[in-house]
Amino acid sequence: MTTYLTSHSPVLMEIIFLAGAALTPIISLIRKKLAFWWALIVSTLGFYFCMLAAAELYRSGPLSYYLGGWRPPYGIEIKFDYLGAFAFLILLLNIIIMVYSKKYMEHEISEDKLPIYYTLVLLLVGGMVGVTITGDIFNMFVFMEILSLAGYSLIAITEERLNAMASFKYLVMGALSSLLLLVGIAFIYNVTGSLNMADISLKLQQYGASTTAYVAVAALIIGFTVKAAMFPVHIWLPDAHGLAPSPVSALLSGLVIKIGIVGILRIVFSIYRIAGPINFSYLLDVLAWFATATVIFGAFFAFFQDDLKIILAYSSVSNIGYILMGIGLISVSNPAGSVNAMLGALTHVAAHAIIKSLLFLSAGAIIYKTGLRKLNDLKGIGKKMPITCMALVIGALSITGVPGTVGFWAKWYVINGAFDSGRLFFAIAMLVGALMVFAYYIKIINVIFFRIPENLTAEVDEAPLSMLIPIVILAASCLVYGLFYINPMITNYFMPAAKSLLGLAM
Amino acid sequence: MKRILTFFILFLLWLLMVSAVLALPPIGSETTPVTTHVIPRYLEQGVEEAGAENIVTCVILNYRGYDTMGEVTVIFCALIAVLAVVGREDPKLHTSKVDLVGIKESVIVKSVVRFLAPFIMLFAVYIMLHGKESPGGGFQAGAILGASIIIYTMTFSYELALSKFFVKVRTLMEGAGPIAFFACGVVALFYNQNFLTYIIPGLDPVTQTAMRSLMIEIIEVGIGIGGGTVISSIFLAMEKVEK
Repeated sequence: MTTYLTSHSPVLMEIIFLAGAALTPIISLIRKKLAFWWALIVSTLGFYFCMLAAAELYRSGPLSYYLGGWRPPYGIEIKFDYLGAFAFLILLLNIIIMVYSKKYMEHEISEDKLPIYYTLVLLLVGGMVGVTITGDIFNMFVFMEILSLAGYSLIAITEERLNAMASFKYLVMGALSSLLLLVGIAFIYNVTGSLNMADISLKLQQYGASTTAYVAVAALIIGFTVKAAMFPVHIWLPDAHGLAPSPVSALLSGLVIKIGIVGILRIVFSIYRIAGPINFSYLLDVLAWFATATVIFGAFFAFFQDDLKIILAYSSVSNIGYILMGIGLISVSNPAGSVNAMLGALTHVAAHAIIKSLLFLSAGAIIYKTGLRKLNDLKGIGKKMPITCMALVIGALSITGVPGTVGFWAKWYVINGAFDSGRLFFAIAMLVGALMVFAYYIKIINVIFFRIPENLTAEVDEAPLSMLIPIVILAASCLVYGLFYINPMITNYFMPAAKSLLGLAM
Repeated sequence: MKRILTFFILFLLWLLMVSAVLALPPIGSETTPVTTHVIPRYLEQGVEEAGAENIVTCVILNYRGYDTMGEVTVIFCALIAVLAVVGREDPKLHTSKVDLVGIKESVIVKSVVRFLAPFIMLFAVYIMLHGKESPGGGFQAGAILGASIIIYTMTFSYELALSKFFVKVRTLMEGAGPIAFFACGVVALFYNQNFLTYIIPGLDPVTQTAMRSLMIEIIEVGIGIGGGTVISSIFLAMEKVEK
């Protein structure tokens, strides 16, 4: 039974979300509140299938699954490889965030909209998993559309005017990036005649680099950097992530922007390949400079904000900068010497997902209890909600990269990557960025713990258990992974992932 | 100044795109990668292998069926997105007289629509079931089906339309596309074949082809019904008057 399920697990963990989402409105005809339990069951099953696939990946390497039995390039291939294993983290965090969202969303939106919310979350997660594990470039676009549409509407679900504006801004930028992706895919198809990633890679080697192939890679990379919120095109992110309901912010900031990173990694390292016909050194250089700007400006703008969640959203921009920096620091001529940079980028994708979910969920718990979101109104909240605020502090320490937390290791590897490639400027820029991040998180910690309460009413107390437990689990995993499990994780998973992306022997 | 700069940047981007398009392999030539790599197999063996006389249907429902499953989900997602932003229709919120009564005066329009609506729906069913052999299929049929409901609502009244197309019934049918795909795709899993394989091993060839035709038809019908309901539900939900 287990081997049977394992062999089908790559497709099962995906379609269960699509079918589950289509069935959610029907299930909730019986009772509106059933939607949550249904969504939870679907998510848990999806996670179970993903665990089977991950175990198989660990035992015997990447899994391929041919849909409809058609071998590539004729049919669509699902590939659960080391990069695809990001789906594991997506599904795990999804369950944690979903448990949290039960109470929060009942408070935030009317009962009529609960089934719609859970349908959209299932579609969002299904889309993310689809993009991560697919081996077909057009299939990637289709799932990108599902996740984008679900993302836009989840922001506007609260029916507030500002949310509608933020969602529309995201929609316009997102539509532009989708258009670029589609153009890029069309160009690639015209040049190679194929849509399967591995096959495209072979064909590109065979035909060499044409102008079209160059423009295609530019269109695809720009499209994905919009989704990932790189500096000049990050403008949609702060409003969208800051104003969305907190569980949605956690999903969007923790996971959805990483899909853009996954896309870039797929395009550069598994389709075009850095040893391939196109010389990527200039592009990666440009990426590194933009990443520097993203790190610095993301942190800089956060200074002037007063809204707790918008500060967190700007911090996401800054952290995406670190990930892009890791990718940009890879040297084309010396892939073996760039392992640290790639390792840092991959580790930070995972670490930031956990930390940012933690931060948004604990900020959400504070907003849920007090209804306040401005820093000045939240003075002394730490005495009323000690556990939530301690979790917030752990998240803040992790994201600034204090040693002993998961965030430290990610930044450590990226900075080492900068030293490896001998580009000290980038290392210094990252340290400056880290200091700026540290400064405004110190501001938050100072306000919530060391100020005398002014606006808080006496009855504010700890958030309900179903919200507290997810927060505590995430906070604990920040510390536990940072202190004890980081080495096994890196040797067993991140190192092979980095090496396989760079095209090195394991 | 800002405008000139914008124009200049857009012009550069335009040049870049045009140069990329000019460098494309010539369209229709017999030696381009597009015409020599994957497509010949679709054209030569599609009818036998994939089980539909219409090669387009072969590609969208069989060779690349998973993409179509995703597209159908996108359509479903569009509806859910509309519902998330504006909510389901609410007859009580309807205060505008124009929307409520429809075109009351014109007897001609009403009689023509009353006469034509059933035929439009019949045509949709025809397109839906003929997608396997000739141009057409579930997506087109869904659009026609949705259009017939929209025309009905606009000529007769909104409330009459709501009393004919109940919310609960529509809720049951909206997800028909993804559900039909899922139901037909999962059959193969019971025989340990890959998802969306329509050929079931161990049966005699005649039953095999019949089963495959049946499953492709079910998917077409699912896409048609789902698409039509989604279009009409979006239309009815957007009729809501601003609060």
